[in-house]
Amino acid sequence: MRRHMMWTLGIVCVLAGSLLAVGGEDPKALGGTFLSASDMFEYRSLPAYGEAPSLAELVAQGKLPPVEERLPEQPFVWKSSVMVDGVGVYGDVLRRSRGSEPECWQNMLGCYSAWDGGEGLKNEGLVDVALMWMLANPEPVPNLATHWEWSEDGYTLTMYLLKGVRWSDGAEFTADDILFTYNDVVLDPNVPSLQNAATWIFGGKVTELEKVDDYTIRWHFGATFPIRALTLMDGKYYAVLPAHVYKEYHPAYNAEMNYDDLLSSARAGNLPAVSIGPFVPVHYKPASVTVYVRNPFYYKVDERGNQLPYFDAIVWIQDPDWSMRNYRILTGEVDATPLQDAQLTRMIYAASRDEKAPFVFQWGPFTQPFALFLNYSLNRGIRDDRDAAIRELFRTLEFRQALAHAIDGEAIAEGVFGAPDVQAFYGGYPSGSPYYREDLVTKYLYDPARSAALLAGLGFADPDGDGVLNWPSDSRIPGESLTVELLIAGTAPDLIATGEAVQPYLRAVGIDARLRVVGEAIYYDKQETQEFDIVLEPTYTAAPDVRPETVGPISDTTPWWHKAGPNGERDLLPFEERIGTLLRLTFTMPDAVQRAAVFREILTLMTENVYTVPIIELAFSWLHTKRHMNYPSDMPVYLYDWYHENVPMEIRWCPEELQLPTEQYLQYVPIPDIYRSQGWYRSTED
Amino acid sequence: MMSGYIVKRLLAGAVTVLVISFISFIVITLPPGDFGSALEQQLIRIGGMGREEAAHVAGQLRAKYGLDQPVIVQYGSWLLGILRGDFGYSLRYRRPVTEAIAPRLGWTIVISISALLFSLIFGILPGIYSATHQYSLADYTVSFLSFWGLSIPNFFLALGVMYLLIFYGGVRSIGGLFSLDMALRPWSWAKFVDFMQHFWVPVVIVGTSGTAWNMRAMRANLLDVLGTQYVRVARAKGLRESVVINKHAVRNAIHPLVMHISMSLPWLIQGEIVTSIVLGLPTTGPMLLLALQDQDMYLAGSFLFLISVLMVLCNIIADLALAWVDPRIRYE
Repeated sequence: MRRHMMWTLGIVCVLAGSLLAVGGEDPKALGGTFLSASDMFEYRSLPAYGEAPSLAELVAQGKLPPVEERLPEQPFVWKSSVMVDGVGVYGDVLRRSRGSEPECWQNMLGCYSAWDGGEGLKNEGLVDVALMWMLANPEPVPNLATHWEWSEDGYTLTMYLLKGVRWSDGAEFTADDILFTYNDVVLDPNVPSLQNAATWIFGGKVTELEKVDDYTIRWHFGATFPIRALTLMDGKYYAVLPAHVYKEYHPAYNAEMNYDDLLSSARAGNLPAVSIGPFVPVHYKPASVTVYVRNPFYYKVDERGNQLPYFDAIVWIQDPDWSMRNYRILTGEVDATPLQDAQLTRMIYAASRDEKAPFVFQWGPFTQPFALFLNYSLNRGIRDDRDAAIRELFRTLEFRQALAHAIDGEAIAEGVFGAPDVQAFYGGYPSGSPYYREDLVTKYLYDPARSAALLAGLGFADPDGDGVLNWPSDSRIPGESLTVELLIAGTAPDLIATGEAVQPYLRAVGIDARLRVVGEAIYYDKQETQEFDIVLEPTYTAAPDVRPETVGPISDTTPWWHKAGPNGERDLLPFEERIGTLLRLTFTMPDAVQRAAVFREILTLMTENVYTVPIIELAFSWLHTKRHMNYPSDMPVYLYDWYHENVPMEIRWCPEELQLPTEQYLQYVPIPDIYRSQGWYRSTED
Repeated sequence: MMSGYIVKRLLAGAVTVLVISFISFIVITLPPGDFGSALEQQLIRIGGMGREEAAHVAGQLRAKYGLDQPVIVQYGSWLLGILRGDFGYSLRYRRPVTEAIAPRLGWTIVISISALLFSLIFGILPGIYSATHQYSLADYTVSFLSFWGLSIPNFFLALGVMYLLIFYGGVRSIGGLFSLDMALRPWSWAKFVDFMQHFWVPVVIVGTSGTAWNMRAMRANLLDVLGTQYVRVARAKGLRESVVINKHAVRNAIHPLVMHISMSLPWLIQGEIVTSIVLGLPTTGPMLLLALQDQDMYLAGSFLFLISVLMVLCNIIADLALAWVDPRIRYE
C-alpha cells in the first residue's frame, strides 16, 4: 500500500513538473496554437529545391526527372512553426508493428491496408481533417484543394486544385481523378467503397460534382451551406484514386472488365501501388513485413525547398496481434506506438524512466471516456414488461442522476488503473476535446446518500431486506428486484475491469447490476436490435464536429443507443431533441467560432441531463524512439484521426548519427519504368 | 486382406471427415453474428470509422459473400468447392484460403518437425539411459526435468524465456524468425546466424512438453520390457548388453511412442497456437485462432477439414506402422 502510494506520488510529481513546464508556454505543444491553416503551411514556389540522395542518384541515372519537374510549380510548403525540432535531414526508417495484414492498396475499393497508417500514408484528400487539433477554432484545412468559395446562396462550393501534383508513377493529378473517384466509385452502387450516394445526400438530394476545368471543380448541394461535406472530403474516407489506372479496370470505361476485376486490381500482390501520399507501398510478404518507401513525386516540401518526406522508408513487422507492439518498443525494435492499454501504463512508464530506455513516454490529452449507455428506446427491442419498465425508468432524470451520484469515478481511476492517464469523467466531451470547458460541465459528484434518496423518491424500497431495491407497487413489475444487465465487449480488458469496479457502487445503492461480457458478434447484434439494458463503452465524443453521430440523434439510426423504431417512430426525450436540433444546425454553419459556441451549449445539455452516465476518461499515451524528431509534446493518439495522421509523417526526421541503414528498402524505390513492367499496371496515358 | 482392410479404413475415414467438417462448420457459424460483425468491430476500434459507415461496409460484405444465406446452403457450396480443390475465400485476408494459408504453412511445418525431432532426440535417449540406470542420480534428474517440462504450459515458458532474454540477455530482437533488418536481405551467413538466434526459441519451447512426455514414456515402457522373460533369455544367451537394450528391448518399448508420434502429425500443420502468438511466429496457429474468433468460416472450416483428413490418414498409417513393427499384430 505504501509502495503504491509512493509510486503514485512519484508519478504525480513528475507529471506536475512536466505540466508546469507545459504551463501554456511549452514550445513543443501545438494543440490549438494556430489561428488559421496559413500559419501552418502555404503554397508557393521557392528559389531552389533539394531531394533525397537516393533520388538524386536515380535522376543522375536518368530514371527519374529532376526534382523541379517532379514538384508542382507552387508546392505545398510546411512552415517551421509546425516543426517543433526544426527542419530535418534525409534518411532513416520508421519501424512499426501491427496485427493485421493488408488486403489491398486502394481502400476506396472496399478493402484495407491493415491500418496503423497503411492507408493514410499513401492517400491524400482534398482537405485534411486530422490536423484540426492544431487550430484554435477547428475546421478542415486545405490539402489537394488549395482554397474554396461558397456561393452566396450556399448551394454551390467551388474548389481549386493544386496544379502540377503527380502520382507516384509520374502521371499528373487533375480534376478527372476527383470526378472518377466520386462518380464512378463513391456513387457507383456496385463498388463497396467507404462512402456511397447516401453519404452525400444533403437536403434530400445526392450532391453533384461538376468539372469546371482541369484544376477546378464545383459541388452542387441540395441544402444550403452543408459544412459537413467538407469533412467528408478528408483523405480518410475520400482518398482520391488515380483515374488513369482504374479507368482501365472499371466496367463503365472498359467493356472487357467486370466489377470483380476492378475490386481485385489493387490486391496486395499488385505492387508497387500508385500513390499520391508521402510513401508508396512497394513490398509485402505475408506473415512477414510490409515496406513503404518515399514517393519520388510527393508534392510537399519544407521551408528550405527540400522535397519531403525525410524518412526513406516505413516498415511494418507482421505480428499475430496488436499487443506485441507494446513490447517491441521496449527492446527498441519498433520506433513508435500508441499505448492504448491502460493496464500496461505503469510498467511501460517505469521502463521509460531508465536512462538507457530507447523510447520516450509522452502523455497525451484525455480523449477517451468510458460511460454507461442507457437504452431509452420504447419501441425497439422490448421483449417483456420488465424491459418496458427499465426503459421508462432510464428515461427518468432522477434515476440517471442517482446512477451518476452512485459511481465514484475518481476512486475507480485510482483503484483500477492507478496511473495519471486515467481520471474521473463528468460527461459530455472528454477534457482533451477542443470544445471542452470545465465551467460548462454539470458534475454529479460521488454521493451515495443523495443517490439513495433519489431512488427512494422514485418509489424504490427494499421490503425484503436483501440489499437490492424492489420495484414499487404501481410499476409494471411490482415487487421484483431492480436488476439491470451491463453489456461489455469481451475484447477490451479495460472495459471489463471498469465494469467490475462499477458493479459494487451500484450494488451499494441497491441496484443489482449483472455484468455480461460477450464476443463481438453478439455485442453488435444486441445493439442493432436494441436488446440491451446498459452498455459500457467508450464514447467517441472528443470531436463532436466530425463525429456528431456519437453525440446525439442526427438520423434514424443515431445515436446507436437510441435508434428510431422499426417504422421510423421516434421517442426522443426533450433534451435529446434539442441536442439533435443543435447538431443539425452546425451542419450548415460556415463560421467555426459560431459552431464552437453551439457545441458548448450541447455540452451543457449532455451533462445536465446525464445523457450517458460518465465514469472515467483515459489519455492514450504515445511512445516513440528517442531517435525521432518533430513530435509535438501534446500530440493526441486519437482525436480527429489517429496518431499517424495527427503529425504529418513527412516532417518527422532522424539525426544522421542515429540513422539506421536503409539500402535494403531503397532498392524498391518506384520509378515510372518499374510500374510499366508490372503485369497488372495499366494506364490510359500509355 | 491387408488391402481390403485399408480400403475399409479409408471409406470409414471419409465418412468421419464429412461428419467432422459438417459439425465444425455449424459450430463455427453458431454464435450470433458473423464475420461482418467482427469486421464492424475492427473498423470502429482500429479504423476509427463511425458506426453507420462500419455497418454499411459490413452489409456490403455480407451481401457479396452470401453470409446472409442459410448455413446449410453455405456449407453445401463450400463442400462442393472442396471437391473441386477450391477451399473457399478467406474474408479476413481477402484472398482464397489456399493463398492465405500457403505462406505460413512452410514455416509451420519446419518448426513443428524441428520441435518433434528435438523432442525425440532429447526425450528418447535420456529415457533409455534413465531406464537402464534406474534410481541413479541421472535417473532422478531426468525424472525431475520431465515432470517440470510436462507441468509448465508452453506459453508461460515462452513468456519466461522472452523476459530473461530481454532483461538479462540484452537481446534486442525478440519474436518472429528474423530481425527486421535481416528480413529483406538475401540469404547469407549473417542471415542464417540471425535465423538460428531466433529459431531455437520456438523449437525448444514447443519441443519441451513433447520431450518430457517421451522421456517418461520411454523410461516406463523400457522398464516394463526389461523385466520380461525374453530379455532375460537374451542376456542368458550371452548377448552384449547394448545389443539387448538397443536391438531387442527398445524396439518393443517404442510402440506407444510410435503411436503417439503418428497421432501428433496432424497437428504439424496447425502448430502450437498460443506459443506462436506469444513469440510472434508467422505460422498457421494464430491464423486458425483468429479465424475462429472472427467467424471466418471458410478459413477455419478448411483448417479443421485438413486436420481431420490428416488425423484419419495418420491413424491408418499408425496402425500399419504398428503392424510393421510388431509381428504379432495382423489385420483382416
